[in-house]
Amino acid sequence: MKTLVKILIGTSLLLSAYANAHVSLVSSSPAAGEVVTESPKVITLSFAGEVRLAKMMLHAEDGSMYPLDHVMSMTPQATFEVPVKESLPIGSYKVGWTAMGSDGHKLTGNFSFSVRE
Amino acid sequence: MTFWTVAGVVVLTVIIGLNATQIAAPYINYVAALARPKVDKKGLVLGVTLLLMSVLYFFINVGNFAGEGLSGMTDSSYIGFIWAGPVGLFTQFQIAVVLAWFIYCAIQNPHLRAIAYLLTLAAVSMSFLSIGHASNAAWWGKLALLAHFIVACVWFGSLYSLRKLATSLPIAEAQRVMVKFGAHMTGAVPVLLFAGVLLYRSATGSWLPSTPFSSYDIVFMTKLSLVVLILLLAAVHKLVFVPQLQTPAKAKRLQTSVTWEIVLAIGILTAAAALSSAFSPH
Repeated sequence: MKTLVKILIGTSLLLSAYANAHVSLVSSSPAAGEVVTESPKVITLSFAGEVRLAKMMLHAEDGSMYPLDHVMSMTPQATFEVPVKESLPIGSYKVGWTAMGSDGHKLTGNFSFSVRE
Repeated sequence: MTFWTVAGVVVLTVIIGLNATQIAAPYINYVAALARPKVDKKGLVLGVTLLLMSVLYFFINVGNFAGEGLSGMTDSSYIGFIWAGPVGLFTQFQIAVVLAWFIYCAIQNPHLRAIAYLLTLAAVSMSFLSIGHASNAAWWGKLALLAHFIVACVWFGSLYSLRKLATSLPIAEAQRVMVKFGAHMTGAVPVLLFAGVLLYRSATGSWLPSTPFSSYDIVFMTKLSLVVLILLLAAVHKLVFVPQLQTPAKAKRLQTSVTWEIVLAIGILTAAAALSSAFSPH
């Protein structure tokens, strides 16, 4: 039994040493690192394959959250357009997203953009 | 790799192990000519355990996506989200497996029992075609997965019973059972290996891992190493331990060695669960 526990722990440690790679985000609007002069009305995410978007959040530098008009997608698609509910003041923002790949795996990512005059 | 991913791999390993025991049950009864109880109470316990593990696997996935700790496991919006996806479909098929299995364990009519077993086998197969890269694979990739999975299930699912039979049966009878099992597996293992190669080709687009190795490749090669070890051990059983099975001491030696085969099988199933649920070939 002790041997079995050791093997299971060893396997878990082995697996935990590697990050997994899945269908990735290929582009967004605003793009990662982009500086825009107007508050975006919509944030667009384009993936390499079809996914279901579970969660998307928009945070300012100070951690305050800006609401997005997003509902969980029940059918897979490659592109998502999510309206921004409020006009964003000048500053830097971080978009975080969580999606499900067509194989059921969890995908996560984030990118930043800035609004300047 | 998060707590949720590790928990998912561990629970999926248990589910595959239980499915393997179900798939191998009629085979081992046939090989060992075992009398089947009127109501298979151990089988019913196995079914209840499988139901609990399948529900747990579903809620682990809910918690993983909700990302709000253990309380996220009961988030109704994420429950609906997961239910509508591959893991939801997997869970629905596993519930079908449990229902068909309960019928298999409880009824006496051999024809109805055979139908219940085939339904169990079909639901298990469909559940594993719903998750991981198999859900997107071409028909030959799905066929390879089924061949690989079913042969592995018959092999690994028989080991616990064989371990018990090594010492519980009269020695000559135990040897007859082991010889028969060895002969069947000698025919089945090439199918297992060929299907495994096709499966890797279907998942990654190449026949063999090449540098730089992806995390999927590394787990795959870990699984392959364990497969080599279990094949060597099985060969030792077939060529040395079973022919020498003539005294209680030799039976005990074989039993200990089958225990090690079970440990290797658990390692292989864990790697298979990780390849299905935690790593992507792309």
